[in-house]
Amino acid sequence: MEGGKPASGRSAAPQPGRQDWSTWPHYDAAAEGFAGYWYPVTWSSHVTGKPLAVTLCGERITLIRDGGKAYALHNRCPHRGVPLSEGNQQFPGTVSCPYHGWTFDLTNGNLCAVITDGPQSPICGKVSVRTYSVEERLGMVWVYIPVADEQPHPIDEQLPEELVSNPFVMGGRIAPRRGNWRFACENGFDEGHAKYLHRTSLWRLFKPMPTWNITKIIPGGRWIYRVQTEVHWDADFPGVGRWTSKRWWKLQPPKETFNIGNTGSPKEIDPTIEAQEFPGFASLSMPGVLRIVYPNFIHYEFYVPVDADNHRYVGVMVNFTTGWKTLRFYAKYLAAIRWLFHGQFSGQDAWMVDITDAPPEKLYRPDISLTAWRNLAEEETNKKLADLSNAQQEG
Amino acid sequence: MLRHILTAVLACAVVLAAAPLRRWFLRTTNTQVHRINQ
Repeated sequence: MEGGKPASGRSAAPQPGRQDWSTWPHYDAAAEGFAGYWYPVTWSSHVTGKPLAVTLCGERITLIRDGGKAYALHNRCPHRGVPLSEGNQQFPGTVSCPYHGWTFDLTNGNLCAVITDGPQSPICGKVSVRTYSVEERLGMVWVYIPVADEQPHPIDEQLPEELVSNPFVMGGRIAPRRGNWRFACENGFDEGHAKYLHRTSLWRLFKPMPTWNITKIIPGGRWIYRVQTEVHWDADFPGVGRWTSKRWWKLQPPKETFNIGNTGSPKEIDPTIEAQEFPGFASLSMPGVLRIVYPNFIHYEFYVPVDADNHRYVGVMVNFTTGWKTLRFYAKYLAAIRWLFHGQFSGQDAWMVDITDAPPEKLYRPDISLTAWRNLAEEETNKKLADLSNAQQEG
Repeated sequence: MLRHILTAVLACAVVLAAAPLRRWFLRTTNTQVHRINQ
């Protein structure tokens, strides 16, 4: 998993600015993601008794459901390297390789039968495939990628805190995307991009975006928050001219700076959201979870590493409503949000992530959001590795 | 009479097609909606 570099070729000409990410060695090495975390890989309903192949953090995994529970095994039969996902279930609680019927116990990956070698096959019990811890949350299957062979931390410690016990309704979209997961994550928390890149999106059709902001990053628990101290809706650029995304058909920008939502002053804030006391409307946590807080809903993005050149976009829109209002949310999500926000708007991000080519890079003032994220990744990884080392010594 | 039969057939078709149409609709964008903790 470690040791990867951002993909794609480099020009031979010297580039200005930072030439590499050696300031953040763990982050630099995490082209295929960080181990020691839970990752959402697919919808729960997509994991059935028929094995499903997925790639996560560079690891080939087969997912299968048995007795209502989802299991994850390394997707390679040790016999001849055939993917177990091509096989099927011949016995309850197992999966069999399609080639010679090597049959593996889903709970521990042990070879428990070899159909073509008889009931007394001597190789049984001597071979196993790696298994992965699996949980199901938010209607999705989550797989834990361990650093070594440690037990995973409870998944609820990693979910956004407000999603653990509050009742809510959610709509989500999972999409495979080109580009390294770090570019996707950096794009999500990138202070400068939204107000320019997304100014043409249909989702922002009637709402202006600021021209530029002064932003600071503040930590809060395991999150970092983007906090706007100044918001400028238009500006005169010396020698160039005036620029604004305000238009006659768009709403007027709010008069005050605020920290929930960024394109309209909140008239009424959902009580569950208000109770969280988020210091900023955009926040980010390991291993690449973005949270954008609006007055009446929260949007999350999970950037799931597939390999060094691909990631999985998991966009989730949450509304803390119950009862008949959930139907209203279903209608809004299925008819509009998934096309406009999780579709066209987010597609603009996908476009940039696909064509980003860094390092080398020359960062500018708003990129404090990027460096703060890389620092967070570095600090958390150092802490995680130290904790694991201590646990191994004690064990 | 014919109109009633056609209406009934149409209603049956809508009911029968609703579930697969919904599945197709959701699959095209790989989207799902869920109620959580309720």
